[in-house]
Amino acid sequence: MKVYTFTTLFCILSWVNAFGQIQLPAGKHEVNGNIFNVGYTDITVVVWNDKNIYPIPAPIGQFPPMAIRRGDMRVDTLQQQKIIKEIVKSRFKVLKEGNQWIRIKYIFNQSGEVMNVIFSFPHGALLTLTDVAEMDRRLRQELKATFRGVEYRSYQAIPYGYQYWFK
Amino acid sequence: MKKGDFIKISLAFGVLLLLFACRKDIDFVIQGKEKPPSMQLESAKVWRHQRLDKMKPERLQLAPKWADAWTEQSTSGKSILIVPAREKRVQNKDLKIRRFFIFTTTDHSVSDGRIVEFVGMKYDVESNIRFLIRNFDRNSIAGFNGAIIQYDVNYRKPTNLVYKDGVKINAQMKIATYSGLELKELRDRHKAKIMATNASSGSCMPVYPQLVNFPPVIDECFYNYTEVWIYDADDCVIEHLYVYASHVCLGDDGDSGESSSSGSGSGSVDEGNPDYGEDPEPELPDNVPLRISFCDGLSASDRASIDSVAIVVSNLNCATKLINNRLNLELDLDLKVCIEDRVLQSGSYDPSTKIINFTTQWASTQSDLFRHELFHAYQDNVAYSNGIGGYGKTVAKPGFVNIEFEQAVFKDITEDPASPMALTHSSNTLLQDEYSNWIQSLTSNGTAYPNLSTPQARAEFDTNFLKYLTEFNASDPIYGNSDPIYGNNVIKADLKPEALKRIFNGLVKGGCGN
Repeated sequence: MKVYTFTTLFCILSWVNAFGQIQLPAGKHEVNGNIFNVGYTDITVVVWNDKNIYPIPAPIGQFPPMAIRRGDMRVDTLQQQKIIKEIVKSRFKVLKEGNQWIRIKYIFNQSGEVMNVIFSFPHGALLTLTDVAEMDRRLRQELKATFRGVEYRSYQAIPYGYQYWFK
Repeated sequence: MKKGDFIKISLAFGVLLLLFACRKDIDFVIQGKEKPPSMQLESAKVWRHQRLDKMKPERLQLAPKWADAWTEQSTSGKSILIVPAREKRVQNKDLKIRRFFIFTTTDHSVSDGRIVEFVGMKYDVESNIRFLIRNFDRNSIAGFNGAIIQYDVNYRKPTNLVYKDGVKINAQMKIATYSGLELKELRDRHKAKIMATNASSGSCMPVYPQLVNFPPVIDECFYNYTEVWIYDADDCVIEHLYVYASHVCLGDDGDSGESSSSGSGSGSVDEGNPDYGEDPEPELPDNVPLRISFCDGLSASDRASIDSVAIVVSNLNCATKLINNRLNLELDLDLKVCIEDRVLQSGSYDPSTKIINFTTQWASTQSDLFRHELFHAYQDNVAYSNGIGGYGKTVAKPGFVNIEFEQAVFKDITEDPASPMALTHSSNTLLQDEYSNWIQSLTSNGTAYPNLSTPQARAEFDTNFLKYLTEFNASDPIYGNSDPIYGNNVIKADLKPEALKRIFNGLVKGGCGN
């Protein structure tokens, strides 16, 4: 009987360890020298680096500037996808089967560098804080926005959002 | 208890049970109704199913009660299959409404199918229903006062015949559901329009719409009513009535009722039992260009480029198409566009003159800017009864930020539902993410438009809108409180997002561009 009990417990623990997400407690966490904030909404886990700049700088000048035209801002979505896929490589299939997603909101500066980035994903998604920290590091390093036209020059902070479905 | 008594009671119970089980068959025998062959019934089900608008949620489709169907021979010689539908309660004793699916059949196949509403004005529809059904397509129906309104199986494309003392008269009738606020505006708008129409014919007298048997109209309640226009021989309107049928207010029970005589119900969510009257979803004609005029001094090339931007904007998606149609076709608005360096913003809409002004030729070619200002024109002319001119940036005139946030939410719903941007400048990261979740939930992850056609959905929308508006005001660098020019914005807490609620009132996404 003891053997059966231990075997069952072992199986359950192994399953949880393999597939269940270890719940991140809300608050501040240090990963590789960076402080990450974790918070919860009803639906999502939200993670952001303390490096994010707040308050976000307002547009330059006294009056509302023209919006950046559609197509005048380009962000390499393929590069984003590549980074995300490489980081979650081992769990990609499970994330895909679970119809999971991650939403990434950026603020770029006028030079196209990432100033702020916020990650959010559904509760229970198989993503760890280490995954998100690595995404944050690589996206800040490797991703750049490019701009055309003149409108972007009126902005010190240019938002961009992207939702990636694991598929 | 004696054994004999027990047997008697058991027998009586058995007989009652049998009667109850066979009540429909007995009812059919008493009324002389004939049950349809199962093949004909199946054929009607298939016919209807093939024609249902698959984009329209099933719960909003009128559900037939196939088990209660019977066949009739109309007085015009057609074989018809009658299928009752669920009914709503009518709270006006002078008005009676029943509705059915009527399929025209040949042998066992179906050649046509309609939803038919029988509306009695001080006429007992219930007692005469079979008589009315047999005569549903006739120009004279002895003694009938009221109307017969026919729709396709999706409750659209209505045609109607209005009768007085059994004879078809020169009149129109429709049934609709509107909020109290919309009803008041509609009445006022029609007041002006009817006077104008009559005046143009030269000989007609002005006619004022009358509300008949309405309880006190409350802005937030929803009223189902019958609207009647009666014309004279010269096609002048001589009578314009809104006849009350029923209403529902937030918090009322959604009594769905199944009584076949009067029916019951309300305007609340009730699967397969929509309100009487045409489905509110607008029919969107293709590529209606936005009709605009220009300020003096604009060159031909400026006019041409503004015209082409207007066409792009009015066909961006189903929502902008709806805005365009309402401004153009329903309101007959003459929207003026100028390029004039008199204000410092790149674009603006002036409610007092109905002018969209761009500061430069370059600005006038930006479709996003044009769409932004067009939305304000819609708010001003359609959504808010007194326009938006009174909503300013001071404590004395609050509301400017409400108007701008409504525009931002419109943009997020129609253009950026996967990654909404209105709260991008917020430092409250969690609330910003909640806002994104809200927009994604409203739009089913960007695949649909919000459906704000029920009182509950509208109330929830209002609450959430106000919550995120507060954060917008606190964080937006252009329209929020922190801006040096537009700063000191004050939220008008009782100003609800009427423009969005009117646009997303059953509007279907798809088939209009993006």
